Amino acid sequence: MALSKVNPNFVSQNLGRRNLIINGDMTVAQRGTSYAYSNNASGYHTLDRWYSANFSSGTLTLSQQTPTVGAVDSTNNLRAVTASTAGASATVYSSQKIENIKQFHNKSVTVSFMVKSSAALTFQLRRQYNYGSGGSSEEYTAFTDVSVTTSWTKFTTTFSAVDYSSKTIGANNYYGILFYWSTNQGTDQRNDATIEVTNVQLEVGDTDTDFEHRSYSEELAACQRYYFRENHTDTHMMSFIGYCASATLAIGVKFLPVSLRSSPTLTINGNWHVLTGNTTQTVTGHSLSDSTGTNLNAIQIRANASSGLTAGDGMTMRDEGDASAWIAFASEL
Amino acid sequence: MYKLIENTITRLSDNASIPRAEGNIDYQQFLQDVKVNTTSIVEGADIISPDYVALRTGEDGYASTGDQLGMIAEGGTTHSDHVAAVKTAFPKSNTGGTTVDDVPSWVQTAADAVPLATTD
Repeated sequence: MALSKVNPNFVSQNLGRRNLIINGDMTVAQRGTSYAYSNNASGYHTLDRWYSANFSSGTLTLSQQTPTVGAVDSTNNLRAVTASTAGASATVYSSQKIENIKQFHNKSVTVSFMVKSSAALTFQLRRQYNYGSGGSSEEYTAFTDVSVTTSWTKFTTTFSAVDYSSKTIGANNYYGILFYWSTNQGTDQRNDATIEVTNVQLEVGDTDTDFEHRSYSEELAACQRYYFRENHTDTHMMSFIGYCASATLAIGVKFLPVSLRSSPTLTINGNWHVLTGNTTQTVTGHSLSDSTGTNLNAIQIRANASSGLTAGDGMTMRDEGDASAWIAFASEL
Repeated sequence: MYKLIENTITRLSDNASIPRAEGNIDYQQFLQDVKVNTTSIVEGADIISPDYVALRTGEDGYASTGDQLGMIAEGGTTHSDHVAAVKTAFPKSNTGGTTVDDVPSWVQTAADAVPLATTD
């Protein structure tokens, strides 16, 4: 049968990989599904890729939520609860840092997301231009108000193009979008509030398009460029293999599913041991073996034991009957 | 507080191992912390001195079992001389121990090289 018609909409749409936000639908939470940021706490502690900070005398609690079917077109959302955070110097926010600020040079940027709150209120957005190591000084834009109601509503705004040609741009530069749950900019209406957000999209251009849905596996892989965590949900789970270099030192290599962005920070939590033959030695310390980070998907790890290893033996590193043990590699911006 | 372990940095609050890599934000935070608090928040690497047992059984200690059997088969004092030499080189009075090295100069140099971060 001859092709008689081509849908013009098909060729005119900006298809695929429009959304530069990772985990915009709040589905990936390798570190855990909730975290309470106390006074002056900051960092990556819950939903992947979302950095948060609480510079106030109160508390910011972030959690992953599962909205009821039909409430909003998303499996999950981020809930931000602020308690007693208002104050003259309060700055309470969550942000996402997007690699490579050059991609935004002289291009307008459109941000959209679904949002609702416990009461009608206004919070604020802001952008951060970070020019990287040795680059021009970091800049923050003016605030953009976001008016929210108690019903899920789509918010959209377009930021004008910015010329970065006069800037010195170094390594590890990024473009940040910040959600200020509470600030000293304005009244205290953002104190003791609950704000829910999902389907966050940031796209180059001045046109707001539908949220770009990606599969969980795609989103997880994108997150794992910045953070990978292996949770030991069962006991004596093997993690990686290697060899014994001496009576007290074993060296192994952990292969990761996705290459990391940069040389990572290694965190090993819980109780672990080195298994050689049919004997085990408790791990008393650990460190990265190579700090140069030339191989970002095979990370060498040194594990120390007090004694009992035999140089040249093969070894397996596994948790020591600790179902809450985990190992993580972080290379966030 | 931080502790240096070979070419990496351990953050003592959670035992995270941080690489000396410019692109790592924990390394950048380490430099900022040193910039603000000086190297007093950094502990140098451990210098581990092995005890006589480790030394006698190490690379410079007793020969392999096969080699020692060869010495015994030769007869004479070859084997007893070998054992005596190792014991003399690594006496039982050597009980080993751990001391902490000074913080190397690169820590302050690297901290001085980064601008002081501002909190928005």
